[in-house]
Formats: sequence, structure tokens, C-alpha cells
Amino acid sequence: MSSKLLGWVVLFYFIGGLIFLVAAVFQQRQLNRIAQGATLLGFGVHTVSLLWRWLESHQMSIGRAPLSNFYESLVFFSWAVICVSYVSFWRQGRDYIGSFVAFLACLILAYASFGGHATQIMPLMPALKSNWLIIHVVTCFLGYAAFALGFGAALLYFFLARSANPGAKEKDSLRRAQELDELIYRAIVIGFFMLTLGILTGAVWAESAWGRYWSWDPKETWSLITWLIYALLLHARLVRGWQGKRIALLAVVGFMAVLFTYFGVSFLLPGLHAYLT
Amino acid sequence: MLSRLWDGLTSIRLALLTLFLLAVGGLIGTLLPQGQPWEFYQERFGQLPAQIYWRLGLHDIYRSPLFLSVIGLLSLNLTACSLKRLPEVLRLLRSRPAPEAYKKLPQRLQLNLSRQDAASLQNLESRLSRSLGRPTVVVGEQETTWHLFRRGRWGRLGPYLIHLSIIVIISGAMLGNIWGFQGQLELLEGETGNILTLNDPPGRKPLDFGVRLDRFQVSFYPNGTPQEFRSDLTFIKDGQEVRQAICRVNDPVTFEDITFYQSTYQARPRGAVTLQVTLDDKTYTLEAPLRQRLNLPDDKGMVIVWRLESNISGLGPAVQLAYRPEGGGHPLLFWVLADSSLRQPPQPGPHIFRVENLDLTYSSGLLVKYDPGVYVVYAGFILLLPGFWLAFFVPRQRWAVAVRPQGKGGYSITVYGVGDRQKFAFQRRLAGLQGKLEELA
Ligand code: HEM
Repeated sequence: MSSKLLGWVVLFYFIGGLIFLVAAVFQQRQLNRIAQGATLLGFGVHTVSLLWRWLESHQMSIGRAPLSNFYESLVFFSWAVICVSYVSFWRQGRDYIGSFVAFLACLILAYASFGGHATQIMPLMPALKSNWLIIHVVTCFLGYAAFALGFGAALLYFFLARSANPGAKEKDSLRRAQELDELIYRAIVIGFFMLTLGILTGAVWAESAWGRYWSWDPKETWSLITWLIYALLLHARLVRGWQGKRIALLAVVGFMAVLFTYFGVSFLLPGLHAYLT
Repeated sequence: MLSRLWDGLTSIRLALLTLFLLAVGGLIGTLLPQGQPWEFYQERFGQLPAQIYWRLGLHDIYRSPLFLSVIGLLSLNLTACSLKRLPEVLRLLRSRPAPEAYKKLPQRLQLNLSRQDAASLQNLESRLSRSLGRPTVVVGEQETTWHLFRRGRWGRLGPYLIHLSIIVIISGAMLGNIWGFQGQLELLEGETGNILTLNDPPGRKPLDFGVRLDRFQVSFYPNGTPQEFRSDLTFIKDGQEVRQAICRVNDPVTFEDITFYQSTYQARPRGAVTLQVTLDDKTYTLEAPLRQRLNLPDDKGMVIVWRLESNISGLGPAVQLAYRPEGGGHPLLFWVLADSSLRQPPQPGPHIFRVENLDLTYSSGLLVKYDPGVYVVYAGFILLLPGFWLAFFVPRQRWAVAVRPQGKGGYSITVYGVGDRQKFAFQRRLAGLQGKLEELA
């Protein structure tokens, strides 16, 4: 069973997060590599488990990407968090943010596995049987993951900006703050691009399935709200030159909107996307 | 006055404000129930707040003048803003780079070549252009040769392409709203229809061709949920069968710019359902048309065939009966499976019902739509992609390589450069240049 593998993945991510944390707190740079190794090992197993589940669904002659209920979306979200961080900053192997990412992925996956969600492979209703579904969900979740990364960097930014004690370390924390500011921006550019693609592919799919590319359904509306907040952030930064705290704050607000789009809408508001629950 | 207005319209502040207001509009639209009748708001919120919501159009916010004018303002703002800045950007793109500006760039690399190495200078230019593109070469004071490079300058057009595509998308949506329509068509197998039921505003609309449902098919997963359904349609114009097509979920059919989507279906009996009724030892048969009240023999109660399902939990078709025994109160609802060899769900009795004959057919629900704006909207989508690429993923860099003759036939080479936000692309390029230059020595 593919979901059995996920227990191991949770473990690897946890170990990775822990070692990253140790590397950060005790400034042991060489530990970063080990942490990366553990996390990447988890990521590899995670990828195998996703592909395996896909294969399983084919063997059950249901044949569909593992992306269409709440459990599967969580598992994919966790995968996307690691994937996006790898793309956007892994080469520098940052300790605190690496720790945040690994723990976040671990937490999401643990919640998916042990949160009592339905994990069976269920057949799809006809409207969901579309290749657009795959592109739509993948792009949206890569976007959410990038925003999660931006959120983590923003939290760390606040954390570091506060602990900027005077003395020898000041320069160090200033450099850190600059790096994080840069990372927030980079994560959000990736997220904004992916979310834009997600909204567009969703619109094309809705047009072919329901005959309306946009119907102001709550999930659509909330993804638009999220998109607007990040558009606002990008303009504030690129055109008005905002930086540091204000951008970090906007990144936090934006991620709250992401969370509401993902969880809040599914659980609190009715609509087309309610099948996710 | 006019220039103040123009400044306001072209300001990025207004952009931030309108983006914010749109987000607030969406917030209201998802948190405040939409499209309910007036009484609903009155009951839920009280007279005065309800009146305010109603006046402002918050009960139907996405079509309220308030919300639409924010979208209008955003479009104006975008257009004005782009018009104001675009000429400057275009001028920049066309201009030749001036060495004066490049000399002020931060110095990145410095290398001295002795006389022996000076020969390798000859292929300096081709080495540089392999990594930086075609340079503008200028000879400055003290016989210094400047190689000036601008990389990724077209990226500057990205934001304008993005803004343009947003305007295109909004225009497409407007087009659809003004000239489009949407309605439903429900057809039984064999039936031809050409009158749509519109829901917004409510009404009816004749098409200038007819649609015949030749066949409807639905397949089920083992657990009884529908797997796929499809309608085989024939389009009839002026009495001629013009085209046949299959309409599936996720696979609509377009005829004369009007698109048909498979949206729902309903099981219907062809004629009456034949029921077998047993009371004590006696058995009767009963012909029961859908939704018609039938008295049971000897006036011992009544039954109505209330609903049909073509597949219940994978057990095949079933009939829902509303049944009232003699002297009973409210009718009781229960299901009877059409396949009488299966174990039946419990029945209240004393009459026991079985389905003797059920000839099922389907009516197919089609959503019918005309929207001249869709392709405009899609064009906007496509335009957005290169816009994003240019704005965010093309690194913009400026480089200058100065070659200064030194005494004794040697040269000094200095590299100046700046990059935009994409620091890593810059760093990588710098490392590459360093490698190339060191090969010279
Ligand atoms: C609806 C949403 C909008 C989106 C998605 C959007 C998107 C963008 C993007 C992605 C950039 C690129 C930033 C860069 O790389 O420099 C940008 C720049 C810009 N935007 Fe927007 N924008 C929107 C609305 C507006 C509006 C309403 C204005 C009106 C004033 C505006 C004014 C600008 C300006 C002045 C720039 C900088 C252009 C430059 O660097 O030459 N934007 N926008």
C-alpha cells in the first residue's frame, strides 16, 4: 500500500527538520548537508508513493491522478512544499528556513495520515474527469506551497528582526534579514506565477465542464482574493519600494488567505469545490 | 485640475487601493449570502442593515454598480498607467547605451594582462559575446575600449503585457455579459427541442434550429455513482438534419456558435410502472404512471410512484413509493428495487409492493450557452504567459568591459556590472565571466 510508505516519509522529514534546527541553533554548517540528505530521501520516497498510488488506481481500473480528495491533496501539498523549496533556495541550504520547510511538510503529511481522513481511492464524478484537473490542482498546490515558503521566511524575518541584538552579531543578522527579504520575494514570485496558472487552467476547465469560466463560486473568489493580495504585495515592493517588515506582514496576510482558500472554503462555505471535503 | 485627475488615475496608489477594494468585494460576496430574496436579509439582519445591503447591492455584489465600478476604475487605472509609462520604456529600449552611465556601475573584476598575453585579446570580444550577447563597442578617453552589454532589456515590456492581458480579459468578460446568454434545454429520448429556459433574467428563448436527443446513455461505477453520461444529438435546421454529435460531461458540442454542455439527467419511466401489490394472500397488478395517486383495490389505502433512480448503490434501478395504508396518516416513503430477485429494503406493510415491469428512459439536461467573449478571455490568458515570463524570469543586467592599454604593451581589463532582483543569475554570470577572463591570462 502506497500510504504505508508515508510513515517513513514523515519520519525522514522530521529528522531532516531536527538536524536543520540543530545546525541553525549551534551554527554547525556541515550538519546542513546531512539534514538535506534526510529530507531529500524523504522526498524521494514521497514521490515514489505518489506514483505508486497512481498505479494502484489504474490497477483498480479507476485510473486517475492522486489529486482529488482532501487526503490526497494534503499529501500532494506536503510534497509540493519540499519541491518548491528545493527549486527556490536549496542550493544555499539555509538552516532555519530548511528546518521550517521540513517540519511543515512533516506536519501536513502527519495530519493527512493520522487525521482520520478517508484514504481509499474513490472513483471520480464525471465532471472531474479531465486532464485540466491535474494541471489545475498541480499548479494551485505548487503556488500554495511557494506561499507557505514565503510565509515561513516572513515569520523568520520577524523572529530575526526582533533578536537583532547590538554588538558583533548585528551585521550577521542584518545579512540574514536581507537574505530572508530576498527569499520572501522569490517565493512569492513563484507562488504568484503558479497561482495565476492555477486560476487560468481552472477557468478553462470550468468552461469545458460547466460552461462558465468564472462563476464567483467561493473557492474561485477566494483564490482571486489571494491573488489580489499578492499582486498588491508585488506592486508595493517593485513599484513603491516597500521592503522588510511591511512586505513580511503582507506575506503573512497573503498566506492567511491561502489557508482560507484551501481549508476555510472547503469546510465553511458551500460551492462547486465542496467535493474536496 | 485635469492634470491632478490624470496624476490620480496613473498613480500606483490607486492601483493598490482598487486591488484592495476588489479583495474586500470578494470577501463580502463569500461571507454575506448572495442572491436571496429581500425577506431573507430582513429576517436575518434586521430592517435597517438589510436595507443598506439591498441599496448598495451587496445581496448580489458581483453585479452591483459598486463592484463593477471598482473593476472599471481598475481598468482605467491600468490603461492610464501603462499609457503614461510605456513611451519612456520604449525610448529606453531603442536608445544606444551610453558609456558615461556604464562607468558608474560597480566594479566587479579586474585583470592585468602582460605583453605576452596581449595576443589573446583578439578573441576577447567573441568570448564575451558568447556569454553576454552582442556588445556596443565604444572607444573612450585614453584609448580605452568599452564593450557595453544590456541583457534582458525586453523584460521591461513584461509588466505592460501583463496589464494589457488583464484589460483584454476584462473586455472579454464584458462582451460575454452584454451579448451572451445561458439557458437550459431538457429533452426526452426522441424529442426535439428548440426553446431554452433562461434563468437570468428568467424567460424563454427560441433557437433558430432544433436539437433532437437520439439516445442517452449513462454508465455507473460498481458503487452506483455515475461514471459517465452522454447524449447523442442531432441538429436540425430548416427541416434538414445538419449534424450529429455526441455531448459528454467535460466535452461540450458547439453548433452555430452556441455551445451545449451535458449537465444533468433524470430517469423517467416510458409510460407507466407496473407494480405488483400483495395483501394477505391476494396479489394484484397496478399500472402506475409517475406522480399519480392511485387508490389500492377495495379502497384500502393509496400509492404514488414518487421518484425513480436508475441505479441505487449499485443495485440497479429502483422506484420510490409514497404509500398510505388504510386509515394511515402521512404517506410513507420507501424504495423498491426493480430487480425482484434482490433482497428488498423493508416495507411498512400491510401491502407489499414489487416492481413487475419498469421500462426506463432518460431525460437529458443540457446547458446551452452563447458567449462571444470566451475567445477574447482566452487570448488574454495566453498573452499573460509571455508577460509573466518577461516580467519575472528574464534577468535584467548591464555589463561593461573596459580594456585599457597600460605601459609596456600590457593591458588592464575591468568588468563593471549590475543586475536586477535576480541576484543568483547575476552571480552565476559573474562567475562565468571570471572563468573566461582567467583563460586569457
Ligand atoms: C490586476 C492586476 C495587476 C496585476 C496582476 C499586475 C501585475 C504586475 C506585474 C507582475 C508587474 C511586474 C513588476 C515588475 O516586474 O517590475 C507590474 C508592474 C507594474 N504595475 Fe501592475 N498589475 C496589476 C495592476 C496594476 C494597476 C491597476 C496599475 C496602475 C497603476 C499597475 C501599475 C504597475 C506599474 C507602474 C508597474 C511597474 C512597471 C515598470 O516597472 O515599468 N498595475 N504589475
